[in-house]
Amino acid sequence: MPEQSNDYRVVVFGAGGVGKSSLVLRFVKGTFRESYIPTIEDTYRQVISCDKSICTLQITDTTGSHQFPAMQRLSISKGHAFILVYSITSRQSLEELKPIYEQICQIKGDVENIPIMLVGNKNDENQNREVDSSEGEAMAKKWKCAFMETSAKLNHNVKELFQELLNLEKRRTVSLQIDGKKSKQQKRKEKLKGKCVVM
Amino acid sequence: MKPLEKLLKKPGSHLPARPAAAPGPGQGSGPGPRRQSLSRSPASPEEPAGPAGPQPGSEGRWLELRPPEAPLRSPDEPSPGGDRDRELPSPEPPPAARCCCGCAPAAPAPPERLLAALLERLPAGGAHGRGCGAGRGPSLPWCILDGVTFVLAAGSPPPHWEEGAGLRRKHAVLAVLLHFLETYKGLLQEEESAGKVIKELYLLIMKDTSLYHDLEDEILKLHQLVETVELKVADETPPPNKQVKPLFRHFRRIDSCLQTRVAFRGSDEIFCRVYMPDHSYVTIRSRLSASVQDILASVTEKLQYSEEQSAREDALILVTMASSGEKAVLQPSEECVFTTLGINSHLFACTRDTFDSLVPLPEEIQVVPGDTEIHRAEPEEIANHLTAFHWELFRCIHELEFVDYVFHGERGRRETANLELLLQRCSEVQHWVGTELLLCESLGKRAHLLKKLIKIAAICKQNQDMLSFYAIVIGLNNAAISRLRLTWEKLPGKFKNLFRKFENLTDPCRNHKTYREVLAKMKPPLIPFVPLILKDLTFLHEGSKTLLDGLVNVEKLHCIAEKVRTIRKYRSRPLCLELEASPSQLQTKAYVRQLRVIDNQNLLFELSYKLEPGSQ
Repeated sequence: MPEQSNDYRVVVFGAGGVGKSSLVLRFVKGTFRESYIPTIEDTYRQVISCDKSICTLQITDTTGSHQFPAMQRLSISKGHAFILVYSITSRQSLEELKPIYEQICQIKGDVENIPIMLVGNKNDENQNREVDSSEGEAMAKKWKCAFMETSAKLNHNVKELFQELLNLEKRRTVSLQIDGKKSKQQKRKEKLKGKCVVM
Repeated sequence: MKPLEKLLKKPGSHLPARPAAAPGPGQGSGPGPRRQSLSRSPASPEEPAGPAGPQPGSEGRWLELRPPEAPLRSPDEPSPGGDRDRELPSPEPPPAARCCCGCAPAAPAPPERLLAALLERLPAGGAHGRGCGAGRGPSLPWCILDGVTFVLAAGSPPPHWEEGAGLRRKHAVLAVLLHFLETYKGLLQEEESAGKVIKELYLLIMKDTSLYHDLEDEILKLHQLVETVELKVADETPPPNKQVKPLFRHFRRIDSCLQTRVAFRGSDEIFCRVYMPDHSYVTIRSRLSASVQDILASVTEKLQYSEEQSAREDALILVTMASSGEKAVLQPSEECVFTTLGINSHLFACTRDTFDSLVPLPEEIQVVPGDTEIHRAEPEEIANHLTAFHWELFRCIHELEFVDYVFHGERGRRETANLELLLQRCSEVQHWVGTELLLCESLGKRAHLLKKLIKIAAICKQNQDMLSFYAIVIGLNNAAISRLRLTWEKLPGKFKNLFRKFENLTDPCRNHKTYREVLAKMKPPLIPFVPLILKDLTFLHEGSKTLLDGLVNVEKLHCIAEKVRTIRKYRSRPLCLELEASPSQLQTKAYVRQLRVIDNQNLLFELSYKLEPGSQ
């Protein structure tokens, strides 16, 4: 099927309450709230650069409960890159990622070329830690994906997480650094314009 | 069948009752009894007429709410033809059927008086205790329902409900209450004030139970009804969490669309996507009846807007935007907006500043010619699935929704979600026809599809699914389709003729005479073309006032009641179609239940001109 648009789609998965929405909102809006509102499905859009031109990064924040298996399948088949989030304060939440990972493998087939980040969130809550970062790393190795610990609350590693994910994309060059390139492009455009005026 | 229902369905009780011909004794039908249907039918075999009970055929002691002389206008205009109820609406109310024995008038009257008169004239005596209300809820005339509603809405039960402690009165009150409960059922949960009055009444009755042993049966029945209606009397806590129902077109879920549709209520929770100017979206969970304000509050919370941000002038507004780019701001106090959205309309939240820059979502539909299910499935399958689905939707509509939809302004907003969903579906089917044809690039294939669609319409008609039939014919009459001269030319003559017949059948001239005649010949179950019913009701409603100087226009309410009763008749038997559950059938079913359509007329025209540029 032909690609509908040149959006780059990232899908965030993970058990309920691990901080998927917090990570996404911290990244997109720079805000953080303690209150918990279960997510059904939200999508945020942001302009990034891709292969030297501008494209839209579409981040889909999914539900933590397993109410909608059909929607989960749909998100996977449409997604280009995935963030699998667990909470370092809950071993259970890491366990719950397994079926999701397996489903990604099943739907996407060759996972090695697909950017996947395993993320241990809430690393500000070290006192309640249940999952060691070495365990996360081991899991990531097994799954042949990258790993990172983050804290949406303290804004630790959040931007890095998304940048790292985009860096994993080998099929095209995607980058969050739009400002520099955009201004360059704009400069070029302005230059051209300037020339046009002269002509 | 219960005798009363039988009575209701007698041909004699068709809407505009024949002029004033009092049914002879023993005949017992005609317009009279239906007006008094609250009472036991005199003909009821299972009911021993009490000593004070009615004589067969002499309905004189039953309530007649009609004025002897004049309904509010032109009472004696002769009605042409016997079966005028198909030809409604004439804005004139039909001629009055006078009370068969010329008993005292009770209308027009103030609502309280009507109710008093009603209670006054209700049957008395223990003989009627048995089975009061059992399965007879539907027989209550609408005017009475409305009378009760007026009183309930006013929140002030007339004094005589408490006084005049006679057993007779108690019986009467109980009978009214039972009918009321049975007709409204779950809808009462949605209406706090009415629910409250019922609860109060129920508690009062419960207090008196020990005093009146003769009333035991009714009270037991009342008890059961109150239970089933879930009007929890003891505790005020809301019922436990119901399942969230996925309502939205842009929230497609194959698994849920295959399930049988159940009626929506205002308190149901649904999912809804609200878009931002950059086409980001959040999915909120909301009551179906939520106000715009509530929706915006959820969105603000989700997006983690800080309080100062939302308190500032750039607070969010909620906008509906159609696929054509047409947009409208919703007022914060508006309620139940979800079901009133157009087919491909979406809700947007934005600030006043960004309102102008809003652009519609890109069309979902990609031109993939020949790829949709309609090219694979047999016309019979598609038609049957259409009928089955529309029957489900039709069945979900509570009778009151028809009334409320039309009386809308007059009695405050009550949810008419299920009716709105059916109307939405109706226009969806119309656009679906055009969309499928216009996405078909090759001429031969298009002509073939046109033939198929006409075939589908024919089968729908056979299924007595006039809603699908009408929608398809209207869809084919869309200017973007009818201008495809080459396509129509390729249509076999037989189908051309057939379609011409269909056009005649849907011809609106002489107030849809042809259609009404065809419909009149059909036996239930059938699915009527619902928009026409609403048109009729609107005429009835707007043609005359409901209240004039505080007096109830009973005649008008009778007419409305009669119209709604025809709907009851259409649904009086279940519609069963033989549908297999094979995988390919399920695929067709899923396709039919979530049609993807282009509802942007400009875009349809564009496609049409691209396909056949030259034709006129």
